[in-house]
This record gives sequence, structure tokens and C-alpha cells, in this order.
Amino acid sequence: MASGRVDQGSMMGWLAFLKKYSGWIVLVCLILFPLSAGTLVSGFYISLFIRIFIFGLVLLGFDILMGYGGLASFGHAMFFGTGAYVTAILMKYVSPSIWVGMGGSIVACALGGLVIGYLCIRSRGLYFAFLTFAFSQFFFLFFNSWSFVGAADGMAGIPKPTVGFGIDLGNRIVFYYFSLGMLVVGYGVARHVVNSAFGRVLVGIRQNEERIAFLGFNVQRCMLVAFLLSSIYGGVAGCLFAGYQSFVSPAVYHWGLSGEIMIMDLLGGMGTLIGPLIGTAFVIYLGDFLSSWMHETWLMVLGALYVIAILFSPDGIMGLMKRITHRGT
Amino acid sequence: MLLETRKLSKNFGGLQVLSHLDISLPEGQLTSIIGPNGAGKTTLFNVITGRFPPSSGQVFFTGKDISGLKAHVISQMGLVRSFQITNVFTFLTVRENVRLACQSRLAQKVSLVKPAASFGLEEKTGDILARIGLLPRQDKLAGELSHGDQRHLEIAMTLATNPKLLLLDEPTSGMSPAETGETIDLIQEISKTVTLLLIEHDMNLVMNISQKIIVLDYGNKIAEGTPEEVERDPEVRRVYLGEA
Amino acid sequence: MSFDLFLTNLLYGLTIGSALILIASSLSIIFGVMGVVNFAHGSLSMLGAYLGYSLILWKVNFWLALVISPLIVGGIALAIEGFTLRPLYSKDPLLQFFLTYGLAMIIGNLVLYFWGADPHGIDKPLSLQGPVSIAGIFYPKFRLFVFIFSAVLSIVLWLFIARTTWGIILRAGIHNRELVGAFGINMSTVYTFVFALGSALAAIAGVILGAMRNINPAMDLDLVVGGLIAVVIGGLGSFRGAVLGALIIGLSESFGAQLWPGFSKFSVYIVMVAILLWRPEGLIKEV
Repeated sequence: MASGRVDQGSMMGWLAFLKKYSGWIVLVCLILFPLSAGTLVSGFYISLFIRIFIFGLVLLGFDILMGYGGLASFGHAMFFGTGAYVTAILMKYVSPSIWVGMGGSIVACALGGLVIGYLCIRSRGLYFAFLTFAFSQFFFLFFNSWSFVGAADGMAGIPKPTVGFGIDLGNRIVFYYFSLGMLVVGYGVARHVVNSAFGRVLVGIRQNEERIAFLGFNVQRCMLVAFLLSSIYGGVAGCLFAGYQSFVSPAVYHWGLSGEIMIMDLLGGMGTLIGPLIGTAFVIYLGDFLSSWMHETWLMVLGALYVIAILFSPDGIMGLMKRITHRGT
Repeated sequence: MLLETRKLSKNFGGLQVLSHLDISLPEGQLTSIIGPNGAGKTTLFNVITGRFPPSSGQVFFTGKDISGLKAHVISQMGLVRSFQITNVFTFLTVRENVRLACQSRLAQKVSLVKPAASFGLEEKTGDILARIGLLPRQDKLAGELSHGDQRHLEIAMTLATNPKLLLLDEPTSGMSPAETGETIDLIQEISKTVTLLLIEHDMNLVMNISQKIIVLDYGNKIAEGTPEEVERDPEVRRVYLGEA
Repeated sequence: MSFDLFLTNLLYGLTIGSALILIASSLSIIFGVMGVVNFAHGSLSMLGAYLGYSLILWKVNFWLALVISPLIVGGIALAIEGFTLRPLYSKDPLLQFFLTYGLAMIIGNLVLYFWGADPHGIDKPLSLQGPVSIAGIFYPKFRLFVFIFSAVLSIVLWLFIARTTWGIILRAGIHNRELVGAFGINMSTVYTFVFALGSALAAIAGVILGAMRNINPAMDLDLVVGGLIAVVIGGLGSFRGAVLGALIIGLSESFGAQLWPGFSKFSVYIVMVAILLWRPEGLIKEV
């Protein structure tokens, strides 16, 4: 890490400075971005970044569960999807306020997380992955055939969200800042959780569950809390998604999405919180770029990258960066 | 009595591993359990500490019935064990290992609210590391320690939980004579403040430091007493030396 | 339900089930011997189906296609095992699962890329077209062929595992990998063989199932999930369990589609959750 004194004159000094404050630098850039770039170009990128922020939230919660806790949930789309659909229904039939949607999503996902988590937490490893997969398929099949929400065609006609205070959340740039704000808050909370006593226990559970239990920690309860946190993050993200898209379809529950979430986490670097955010940005940007001429088959490239990462750098981009910088010193 | 078992039995499928064991451990005593392989010693530890529930019979700790309680509950009551096969957090540093053990006794041990650093665990962690002699190696990953040091780390982690009763499962297994000597000193020092129950195969160690010895064979208690009494016991001689 | 309808559903369920046995048993053996849950199994099966489709489209004889397709898929599997799975054997099994997921993504989208999204049918050989009369009902000849062919192939596989030296090595390997290695048998070769053979079997199943119903780029999920559930029902690593599980899945799919049309897909996952929660080791008490 950066040593005590930063010699601003030398190259090494600048690099160390950049590394230490890179997070803040990125944040400042993100804040300034919509105000600076031209409207034609920025329209596309604003959309892109909004999606990155939304999925980044999912990944933060997912990384707590899998990167720190070691539980590979292969069904995380079910919380994202639940947040999206609950918000869509509430906004269309109750109130367009985004806070109503968010509250509903959080409640729904917390309940779902408790019930499903309680059932699944007793299993580990592959069995946990299978169970979460099966549960998420329930959601998919159900919403794919529920006529009230348009079944396979999805639900359109969701009104533009309102946020109060006279702010027009329907404006894309406003929504950009709103979702960025939520991501920053979400990151702060996640970082706090990971640095807390609970966070340490979680890491211990991942490494040696038995020992943690014999030290006197209630493993089941800790895992349930981690699952609950990750489900709520998913729900909030889903809420933002519905608010932004004005349209939700069963694709939000698709198992391919759960798979992509796992991929984003690994590619970025599991168990680092920053890594998954990088992974999200990378995958979404790459996906946008490639799918314009490859359509759905860009997933082939993603799959190949995933395989390569697993074989050569299972700790993702963050791990790769760590190894490169270590070799320099 | 700090620990008491009444007619404690455990079978796995058709295999009877523990049979109607009655054991009593008063506070402050250092007791060793010995017996041939397969006698059920580690299973006894497993049942007492909640890894498996007993098939029948009961276990009492500080007068309370703990039979069948979950492992973490029993640990919190002050009944702590170490493991025969080293069971530490290999990818955490030595210091982090001990610190996690210290954390387990805080009221807010799984608090989400306060940052972990604010709990002031560093001092206690340092004390334990110093006591065990692992302070110079505290920043090494636990998986990189020598075998003997890992066994000591095991003991350090159990100490960090402020146990009332400490169960040590073959603490000197795989150690060189020098390491064994260090461990004996450590155990004797610990025994001044903690009640100890040891499983051991090293007869010299057992005879030298135990105040009481319990001998198991095929899940039955075949002898119990001071080292001298056990040494002279004909049943024990038969089991260990094959004498008629 | 009338007897005729019952019989039809029963036959259809057994037909699907027996084809699924090929997929489930190969998945189970791959797991048992190699410890790998091959999420790409369905994709390889699908690849086999599509290769078979193309071969027949190029006027290759159906029976020849049934041989060539698994050979190609087996060859591809060999390459996959050597380059991607082998480096991971000593690592976290979850990582291996992720890898097979990535492979499934690659293969599945390759199929989509080369063959497009529309479903296709595979031309059945003339000799197997049309219905045949069984116990008073008419059952499509090809379905009967699928049932008998799969059953025979499963029996051959069973005999291979139970009676031959190779089979004994496989079974021993399921129970204790290190011990078999200690006997001087090159486990690496065994792994490669198992993976290639398993994938080839999956390809055969893909071709005949594809010819029976249709081929589409989403069939890989149905196949791998069906296979996984069958394996979980029976217990990972158990051949008999895979048979039992496959038949259960086949029958529940057949009767489920008849009795609760929209619900049949659901039922598969309900079974999966129930088994995983209640008896994750599977229903067969394998000694």
C-alpha cells in the first residue's frame, strides 16, 4: 500500500497517490461526467452507467454472500426479479413514488430471503447452488405464466417514478445521480458490514465453518443474515431497474441472469466489494459493445472469458492487479 | 463437579462406540483419557462438545444438562475443545486466528453496527500470543506454520475463549521431543487456571502431569484413578500389554 | 383417465425416462469418478443433437449420423477435459462447477450462433416412421425405438460397469479415487475416458430425443436440469439411482403434461427442492 510520505514530485509518488485515492477519483469522475460530455454521446453512456450502478448494487450484496461468506447462490435473479416486479406492480397500481416501490421490494425480498434462506442455508456448496437455482426457477415459471403481470410478454405501462421534493426522477440524468447515490450508499453499508465483527465471522465461516461453530458462533444465523442482506440488495436494485425501464419481463428472473451475476463477481474479484463493481462495469460494457453486432451470442465471449479467468486468475481482475503491482515492488 | 456424564452412550449405525460411561471431573483438576485406538476417546469429546448428540445418557456441565445442545451453545458456556487434526483458519494470519477466538466471547461478537477494530481486542490477542510464544510469527498465515506451531495455535485459540473446561485432543501429536517439552510446560501453566481434560497417547506425558487418569477400551471405562493406581491396575495392563 | 390414455402416457414417460437414463447415468458417473458436476452435459447433448441434424440434412444416413455425432462430441469432450478440466482437479469443486457453467455458455451460444434460434426437426428414417400397435393403442414407432434403443444401451452400459475390468476400475474409482491411483492405474486416463464416453452418450441421447421431439437452442437447460434432478434423486454417483431418477422424471413429465399442462415444468423443480431439502444424499441407499 502507499507508504507514509507521498513524494508528489516523483512518478512513484503519483502512482501511489492514484492508487490510494482511486475510489474517490472514480467517484468524482462519475459525478462530473453527465455535466461535461456532449448530449449525443452521453445519452448512451448515461444509460450504460445507470445499468452498471443498478447491477453493481446486486453484486455488492452477492459478494457479501459469496465472496465473503462462501455461499454460491445460483438463483440470485429471484431477488432482483422480485424487486422489479413488486416495484412495477406498486408503481402501476398504487403510487408512482419510487419510495413506495423500494419499501415494497425491501419487505418482499426480506421475507423471501428469510424463508428461502432458512430452507437453503442448511445446505452447502453445490447443494446450496442447486436449491437456490430451483427456487429461482419457481419464480421464473410463475411470473412467466401469471397473466396479471402479462405473463411471458411482461408488464408495460409502468409510470415514470417520482421521488418527491419536486425532482423529476423521470429525467435520465436525474435518475443517473439517484442510482449513483444509491450505489454509493450501498457500498458504504457493505463496506461497513464487511469490516464489522460480523464480517470477520463471515470470512471465518467461509474458511472453516466447523471451527467457527466450536469457537461459539452461531453459523446458521450468520449465514441467514448474509443471505438476507444479499436479498435486500437484490431487491433494491430490481426496484431501480423497474423504475428506470418502465417495463419488466420475466427475463429479470431468468437463470442466465443469475449466472451473469456469478460471472461478474468472479471476473471482478470475489470477496473484495470493489472487484464485483469492476466486474459489473466490465461485463455490461463489453456486453453492450459486442451485442450490437453479435446479438445474444456475445455470451459465448463472456463464457470464454469466464473459463479463462477460472483457469488463470480465479481471483479476478483485482487479484490480477494485485499480482502485477506486487511484481513491480 | 464441573463435568459429569451419566450412562453416556453413542452408537453409529450398529457400531457401539461409547457404552454407559460415567465420568466426573471436579474443578481445577488435570485429567487424562487414555486407551487403545478406537476406544472412543475422540468420540467422547465429540459428544461432550455437541458435535454429535448422545445416543443415550446425559452430559452435565456446571450442573446443567447439555446433552444434545449445539456446539456453539456449549462453547459459549465455557466448554471448549481443540482438535486432533489441526483445525485453524489457514488463510488468516496467526494474529487474526487468535483475534477471532477472542471476538467470540464479546457480547457483540457478530455485531453489524460497530467496526470490528473498535472492540479493543488487540491487547488481549497480544497477551495470548505472547503467552503461547507465537508473537514473533503473528503475521504469518496459519497454513504456513510448522506443525508444532499450528498445534500451539490450536491451544492459543481455545485459551482465547476463556474456557472453564478445556478439552485438548492429542495436543502433542506429531511433535518432536523439544516441541513436546514446550507443550507440556504450556499445559501445566494453563492447568493452574483452567480445568483440563486431555486425550493423549504419550504415556510419559500422561503419567507425569495428570492428577487423574481415565482408561477407555471399546467405549467402556475400564479404570480410573491416580497415575500410580492406573499403572498397577491389572485390567489396564491387560489391555495395553496383553498380560493375562 | 382411460386405460388407453394411461398406457400412452406411461409409454411416453418410460420413453423419455430411458433416454434420460443415458444423460443421467453419464452425468452421475462423471461425478462419481471425477467429482465434477458437469453443467455442460446438456449442452454437449444438444450439440450432439444439432450435429446429428446437420449430418442428416447433408443426406447422411440416420444410423451413421447416430454414430458420427457422438464420436465428434466425444472428441470435443476430450479436448475440453484436457485443456480446461484437468488443471482444476485439485481445486475447489465449486470452481469446477463454475467452469462447466462457462463451458455450457460457450457451447450453447455456439449452437445458437451457427444454427440460429428456430427449432428444427430431425428427419427420422423411413423404417421408423408411423405408428405401431401396442396393447390396443397406437404408439409412434420412433418413440418405441427410442425406448428400446435407450434401454438396450443402458443395459450395455450397466454390464460394462458391472462386469468388465474397466467398469470395476470405474466403480472403485467412485468409491476411492486415491486408492485406485495407488494401484498404479493412471487416473488421468480414466478421467479422460469417462468424460469422453459420458459426453458421447449424452450426444446419442440428444440425437434421439431431438428426433423424437425437436431440437432448439434452449434444450440444453431442460436436459441438464432433468439429468441433474435425476442424479440428485438417485444420489450422486449411483447408476441405479440415476435410472430410478430418470424414470421418475420421465413419468412425471409425461403424466404432468397430461394432468396439469402448465404445471409440469413446475413439478420438476418441486421434486428437486423436496429431495434436496429432505434427502440430499438421494433415495438409493448406496452401500
